[in-house]
Amino acid sequence: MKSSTCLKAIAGAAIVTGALCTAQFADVSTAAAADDAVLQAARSMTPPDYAGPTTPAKAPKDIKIAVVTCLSVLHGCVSPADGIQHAGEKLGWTVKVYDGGGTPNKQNAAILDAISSGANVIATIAIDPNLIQLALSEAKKAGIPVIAGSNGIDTPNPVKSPANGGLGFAFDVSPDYGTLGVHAAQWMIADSNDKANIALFSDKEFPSIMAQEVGILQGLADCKTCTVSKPIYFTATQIASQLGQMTVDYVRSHPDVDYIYGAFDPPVAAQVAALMQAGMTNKVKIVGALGNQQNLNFIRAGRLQVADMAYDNEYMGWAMVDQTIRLLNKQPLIEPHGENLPFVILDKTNLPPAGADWQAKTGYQEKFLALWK
Amino acid sequence: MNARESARDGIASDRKSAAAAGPSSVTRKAATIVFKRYATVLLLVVFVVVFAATSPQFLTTANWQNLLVVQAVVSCTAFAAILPLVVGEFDLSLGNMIGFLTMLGAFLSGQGYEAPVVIPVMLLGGVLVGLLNGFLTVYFQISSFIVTLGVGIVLSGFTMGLSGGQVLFDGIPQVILSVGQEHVLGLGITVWLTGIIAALLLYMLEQTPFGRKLYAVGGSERVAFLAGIRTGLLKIAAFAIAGLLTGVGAIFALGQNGAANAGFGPELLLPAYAAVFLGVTTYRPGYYNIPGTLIAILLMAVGFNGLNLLGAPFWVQPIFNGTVLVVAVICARAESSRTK
Repeated sequence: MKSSTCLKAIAGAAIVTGALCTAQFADVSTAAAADDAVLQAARSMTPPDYAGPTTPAKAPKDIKIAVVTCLSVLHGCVSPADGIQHAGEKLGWTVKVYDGGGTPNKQNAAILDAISSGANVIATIAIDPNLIQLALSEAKKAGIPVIAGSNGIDTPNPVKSPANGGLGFAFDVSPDYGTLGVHAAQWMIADSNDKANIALFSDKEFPSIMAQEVGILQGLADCKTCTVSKPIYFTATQIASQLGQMTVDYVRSHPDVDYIYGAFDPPVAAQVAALMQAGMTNKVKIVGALGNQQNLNFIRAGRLQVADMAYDNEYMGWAMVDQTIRLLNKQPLIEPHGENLPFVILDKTNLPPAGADWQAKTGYQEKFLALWK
Repeated sequence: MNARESARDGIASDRKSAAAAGPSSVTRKAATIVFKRYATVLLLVVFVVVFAATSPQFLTTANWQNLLVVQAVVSCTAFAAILPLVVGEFDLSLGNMIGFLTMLGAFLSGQGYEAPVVIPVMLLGGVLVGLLNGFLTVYFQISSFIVTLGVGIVLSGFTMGLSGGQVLFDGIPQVILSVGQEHVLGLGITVWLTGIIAALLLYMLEQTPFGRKLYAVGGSERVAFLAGIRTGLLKIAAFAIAGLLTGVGAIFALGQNGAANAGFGPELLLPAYAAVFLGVTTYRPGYYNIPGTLIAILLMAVGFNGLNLLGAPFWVQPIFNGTVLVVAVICARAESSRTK
């Protein structure tokens, strides 16, 4: 009797334990599946298909467009200009690219040269309108519209007009930086199984980075078991000289940190180099933004960076040309002014081929050209 | 015999030998003198001719208005670089100083201060930093190269601190914006003011005892000291005036840009020094001088503008700037050894 009771008790315990374990495994597998679904969603292009303009806008002929980049040694400054050049060639427009040189003085000078060159339109890439008031004032006097891309100061981002009645751009074509930030946050949460301990680096000089930061924080707020540091702000001038050491010091003094959000790719490159030199190769995972090829190579080679928020800069150039046509035709601009610029979170599973930028494969070039006939 | 006397004797001996020779020899000698002393001007003329022939927009009024207005800030920085160089010292803090003073002006504007406060504080700030540079150099006998480098780095920290990592653009006084962006008689106000400052500096350096003493200190500090010149005081004064001129440049920059960011400033240092070194080859060869520097600034501006109008790729600009800098140093050395 005793033995049968004992066996029953053991069997009962085994069933209970088994049931508990099954439930636990079910929870784990459900959570893992949910994480996989989130990762998959983040890795998919947003919007999933072409969501650009559909209203025709006949392109005027013989337009001279001057493109002023923020700094022509930075790929992110140049690739939208390439997009404008490619679209311009198809329309028979004259496109001339000027180097903004990375400083307000040179950016003002380049825009003034563009005005002198007799351009009908001046397109700027990632240049803060607050820092080029002289050039904007001269362009206004000359009756030349100045447009922009990659600033994050126009729809779908929060609209930011220059202070004190200063001059701004006719429009700014940018991705939805806030949503891009939310997707990156969701990627980090899922990749860490809801346990990310994130050091958040950011740069207040750029409205686009601030919009992205808002999105990141909004996305991370959904994870109750994650932690995120107060924003650690740096400036562009610190990237080459100080940011690497700042990052190493931060990680040393906060050993629990396992993810770094590096705001955009050039600072991430500095952080990767510094952390590797400090022997912290497996200590943290870094997430960047812009889709620079150097950073995509870090992901490819497994060098600290694991993900990148990328958007289609070629599309940005085409969308800038599209909005320019509408501006010159005095047609209503497409809303949002960013024309639903496609973006994606890239990780090791969905990288473009080495040496290539990520691009949306929606055949948008043909669609734009059809609208411009 | 100092460098100026040597140069004067050189010219006199050229004249004597020219007079002794025939007319063709005189022409050759004159051409040699023009080429040696005004090579920069000739180069400028060549650039103007080439760009005028290749770009229909180059010689337009609008282009020259634009070309000149963006040189105001670089010109002030170059003028500021001249004064310490005249007394035999370097000021490497100028780039960071102009960034700091611009940020200081933007910060005060953001706090609600108006032009009557912002402008004097920016100018006074420049003078104080200049005095500090001079004091550390003279009284602690530290190389100005090192002192001003250190002060510049310190200033970059203050600039970032004032900025809070952001671009500051709130409340910039209208007076400053007008100075930076408005025109009078077809030229930007900053262009006129730069011209006035150049004239004042030219007068001060060449027509006043103070200016001659500055050149004397730069020629030979020991001899100047033995001649009763208070060399230390003059060096400090040179740094202080350099700071004042940097303050003026910062006001121009704040007015033109309409905002301040923490990265602005350091990139102005090398073009300013390139212009000053190139200026040594013109007007008064072997001497740091204002007209030569203005010609050099114009030369680089015309090159930059002409290449832009021709649609030169972005990588051509640094090659042009670097070449101008190297040519400047070679010319300065050649002129310096010729006048010895």
